Amino acid sequence: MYARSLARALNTLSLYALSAVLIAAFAMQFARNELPCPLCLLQRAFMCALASGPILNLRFGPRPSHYALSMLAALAGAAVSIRQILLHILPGDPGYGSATFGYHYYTWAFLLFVVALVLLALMLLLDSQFDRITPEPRPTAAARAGILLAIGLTAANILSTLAICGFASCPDNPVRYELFQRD
Amino acid sequence: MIFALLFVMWTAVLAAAWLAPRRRAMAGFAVALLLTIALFVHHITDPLTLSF
Repeated sequence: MYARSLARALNTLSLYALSAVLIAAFAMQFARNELPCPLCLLQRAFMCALASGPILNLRFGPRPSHYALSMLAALAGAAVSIRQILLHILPGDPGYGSATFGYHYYTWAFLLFVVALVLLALMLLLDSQFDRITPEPRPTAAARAGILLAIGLTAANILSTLAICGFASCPDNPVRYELFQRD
Repeated sequence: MIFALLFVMWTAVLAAAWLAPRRRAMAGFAVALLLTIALFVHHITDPLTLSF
């Protein structure tokens, strides 16, 4: 019973952590006017996808298959970010965007996806969370707020991406919001 | 445009995880994951763009 409550609390916490990452990405985009490239958008999409597991866990109770979904999303996200790291690995390449605490966004994204994989694997070690003794309680108010926040931030990316790319293909190196350009 | 649709799809998947039956939410995740990976593969195999 204790493991189940702990799992619910940690799943709620993970939704807030994911939301914090997505908010940080928006903050960098607007504060530094650094627009996300296609690979950056794919990393954001996989960051949003990570939220699927915790949402399912909070609604239906913890199951290994829910954790597996998040692990798949983290693995795919890590593949995208390592692809971008490799594109800029040559000596003298300034990288894409500016560095934060010494690392570019895609390097931070790679580290975060790896940390997510490790944390998800650790969560799977809590065997007793999967024992079904009582019906799953309704998610707490904090859990529901975390779920809505994650869904809302994913939806906010629709508007942001539409503003950056307009109705055409996204530019490789976006420098302006295409939707608001008149030429 | 395709990336905006990508986020529409993931918003729908997360909303389904919250509102839809479990099996439908899992199936939606699988489809969205495959399509997102397909978009990634399309980008890395496109000789004209680097995607930065």
